[in-house]
Amino acid sequence: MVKNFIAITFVILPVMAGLLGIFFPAFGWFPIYGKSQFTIELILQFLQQPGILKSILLSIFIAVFSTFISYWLCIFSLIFSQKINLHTTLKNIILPLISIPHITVAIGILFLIQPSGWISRIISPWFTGWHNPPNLNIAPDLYGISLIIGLVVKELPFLLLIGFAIITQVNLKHYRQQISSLGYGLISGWFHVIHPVVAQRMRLSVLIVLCFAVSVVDMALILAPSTPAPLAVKIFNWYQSPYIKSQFLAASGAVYLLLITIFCCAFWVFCGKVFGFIFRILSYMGCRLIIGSFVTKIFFALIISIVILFLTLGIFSTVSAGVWAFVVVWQYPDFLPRKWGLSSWELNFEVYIQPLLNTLLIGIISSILALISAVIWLEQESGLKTKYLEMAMYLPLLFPQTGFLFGMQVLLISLKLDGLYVTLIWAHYLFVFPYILLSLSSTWRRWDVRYEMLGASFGFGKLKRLFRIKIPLLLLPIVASFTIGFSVSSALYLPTIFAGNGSFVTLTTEAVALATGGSRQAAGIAALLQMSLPLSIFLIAGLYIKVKAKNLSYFKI
Amino acid sequence: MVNIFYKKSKRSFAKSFLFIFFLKSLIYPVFASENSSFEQIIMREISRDVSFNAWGGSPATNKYIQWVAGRVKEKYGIILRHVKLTNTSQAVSRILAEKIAGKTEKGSVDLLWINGENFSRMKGTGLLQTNGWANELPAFRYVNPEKMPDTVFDFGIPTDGLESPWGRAQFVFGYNSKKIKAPPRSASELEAWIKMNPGKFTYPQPPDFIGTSFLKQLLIQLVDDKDALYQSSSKSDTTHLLKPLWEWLNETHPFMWRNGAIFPSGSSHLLRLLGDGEIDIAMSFNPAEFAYAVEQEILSKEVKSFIFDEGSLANVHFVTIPFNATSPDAAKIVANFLLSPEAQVRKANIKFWGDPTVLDINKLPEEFKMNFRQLPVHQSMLSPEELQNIVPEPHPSWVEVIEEEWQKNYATGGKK
Repeated sequence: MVKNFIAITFVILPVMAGLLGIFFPAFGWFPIYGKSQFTIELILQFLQQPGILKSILLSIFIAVFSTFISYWLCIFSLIFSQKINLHTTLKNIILPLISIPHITVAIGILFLIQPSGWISRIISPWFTGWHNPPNLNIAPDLYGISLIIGLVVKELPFLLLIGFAIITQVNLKHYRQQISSLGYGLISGWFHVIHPVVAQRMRLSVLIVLCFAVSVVDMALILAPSTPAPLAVKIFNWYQSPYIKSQFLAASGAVYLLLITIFCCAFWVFCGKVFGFIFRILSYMGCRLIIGSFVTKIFFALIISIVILFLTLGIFSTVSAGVWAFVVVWQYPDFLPRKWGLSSWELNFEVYIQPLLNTLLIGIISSILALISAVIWLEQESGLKTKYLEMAMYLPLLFPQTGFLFGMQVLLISLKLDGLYVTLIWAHYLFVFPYILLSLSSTWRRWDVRYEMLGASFGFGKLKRLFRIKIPLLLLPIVASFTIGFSVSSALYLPTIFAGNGSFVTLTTEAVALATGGSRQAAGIAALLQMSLPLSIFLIAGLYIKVKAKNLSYFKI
Repeated sequence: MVNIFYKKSKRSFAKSFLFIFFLKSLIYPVFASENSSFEQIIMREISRDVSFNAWGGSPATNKYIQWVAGRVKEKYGIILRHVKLTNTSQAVSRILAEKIAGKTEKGSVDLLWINGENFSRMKGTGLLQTNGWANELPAFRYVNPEKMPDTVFDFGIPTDGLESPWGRAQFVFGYNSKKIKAPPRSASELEAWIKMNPGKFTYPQPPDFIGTSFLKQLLIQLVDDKDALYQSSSKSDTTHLLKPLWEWLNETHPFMWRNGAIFPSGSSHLLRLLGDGEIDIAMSFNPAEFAYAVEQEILSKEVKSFIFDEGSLANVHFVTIPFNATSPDAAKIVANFLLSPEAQVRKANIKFWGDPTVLDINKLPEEFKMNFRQLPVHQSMLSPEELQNIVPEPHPSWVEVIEEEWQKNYATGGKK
């Protein structure tokens, strides 16, 4: 009951209302603008906007391609982790990278790979002969490649984390013995036997990544081309335009974005089915796809180096964003800044106190609330009905944010709930909760019931068992999912803008404002502060876990 | 602290009254005797939390606004919050959304930095206060509308006291004098220069207002029928009139930075490109921008400014109060402070911002006259005499036409 109540009041109803908020105007019903006739004219007109087809194709290309790269890099890392223990090696890089906000990564990558960026400075002029930055279309480029790189840097660690968690749940050793005894190799054995299991468990996470990539705005503002921009950015610009006509365009655009998202997901699932079908046929035919061990080794080295490349790119992007915070003078093509100093901090430091506090407060409160509701959620036994309900909880992550948030804003304003701190926290909760649920549910459901039976034999009630046995034993995954929740909250841009009415500043809103305008120094400071919060929460949690973990068996998220 | 004090003021009315009285007598002696209605506003029990929505892309401006926040807190106990916008239309659309939802009070914006088409749109759709408050501000008496009509006409649209002048902007180019001996001083010279120096020129992508302004600056030079630009665009054949502009751009785009396929996001981005040596000519709507950047060591000392011989676009920027502002009275006090000689002289100083004043210096008290005359000059900035060569802004309706056509021609990903 509690579960249904939480789900319906706080998540499903508002999200649905948000959707209606875009569907009505898209079909011509917007009484305040004097239009109250249903028509499909607006929807059709939309396609005649200049450059719209290119925007749509760009969005699809970026989303599908970035997800494709992240997914397969992740899968092959999992395959090779059967041989060497990649998990422990990569864990120390993956977790901090997850906690770093998207915007920091975007700013960092921009400062790294653009023609006047750090990489170009490092190899100039001694290697390239460039005394001025070259006139090259990089970051942003015309095809969204820079954005794809940025997305992969950010999504690969997330998928790896989920993937490693899944293969620890699947009894890999057991499978491997059977696979080898049937004469399958490392790779083909994986695809015939293990992959179907893993792919199914990873599907939700991959779709979340895919949908995020379709509707990403903050990273796209920095890394994507603008002639034309991806559809999500275009919609965002229309919403922000003072012309009434643009509001209708934005609403129609949001409907199209929703269709594109559905299309991308369907396409992805379809490809997955075809892929599975092919392997099923192959296994009926008894085909074992023997690949020479030399080729496998080369391939292995290639995949691993690409994964490492993206992870290091992630680390260096944060470094390059951070360095700029301490630069006074750094002229091209100097390898390092000519003059270091804190002068840009004097200019800006005071301004950051408010956003810092807001980010901290909103992040902690929304994560704690989400954590509590996730525990309640998982504690209630699940039936078929709640399974669908649980799918609904992931809707905020699957719907394009650009669309339903505007619809929701109109709703909030008419309920006079806009611009309140509570509303803002709720909007964050909407996005934090599914992530916390996602990261906590696997551990929670793996919970050994025998502990509970033991507790019951002591005569402990359900609540007492929860607080005395379950929570203490699962404390580490709880802390870990809290840090994930916090980092999700600290990186949210659109929900903060829409629900907060633009009047609440967080480090993310500051960082976006400064990265698209202002000086590199100011953007660097914003990026540094923005990553420092989730990172320090993460480090504190990590230390806590280390101390605690001494008494407990090794935990896995 | 002060803010809480005012909010709880019902309980401590006497105390707060004394406090305000003390404040008033301390720092507002000039206006106290002359403008009783304004004096009353300052003394009244009002909400003193002002949300100032202003473009936040420039550290100089941000820091200036921070200084203003400090001063109005000291003087009037007003808490001024700077909401940094990437584009003014963000705030306009939010106010529009509030109007749609029927939120007629307690709106999210108290004071908004604005001019041109955003103002004309807000005025036209009833998003502003209805009474003309701006011309009643005590500091408005230092403004000289007869001598400088642009302080009461925003892009030719009468302000009717719905917005208060804040500063003056003028379109200037900045160039690297080490690489360019004689900068191009007309549209045709610029075209020739761009073709001679491929990849070294670009402009911010419209609807960024610097980018749009550059197009307007070109347009004024390129069209024969200049008068048409000063009337509503609906009165003329826009396709015919804008043709020379698109021809000019079609000619030059292939020789621009990134071959005219990608454009910078704004003037600060442009400044960064100039600093990195990616381009040799940049542009700004603040005549002191390049001098300020040289002072901050963002640009090298060789950077100087120039304008077209035919004159450069100039306009005044304003602050306005939306119809549903939460603290309209406190916003007026802030607007008045922004217009005061104290704030204007600091704003005009290139050490702080370098935005020229909207006041008539001759109307000021002697001490402030001196302050204005003693403002530092800079080799990277044009002298006031050189800057007098101005052309007024076209009618605001042209902005939408130019931006839409530009979008159609150059932001669709294909060659035209």
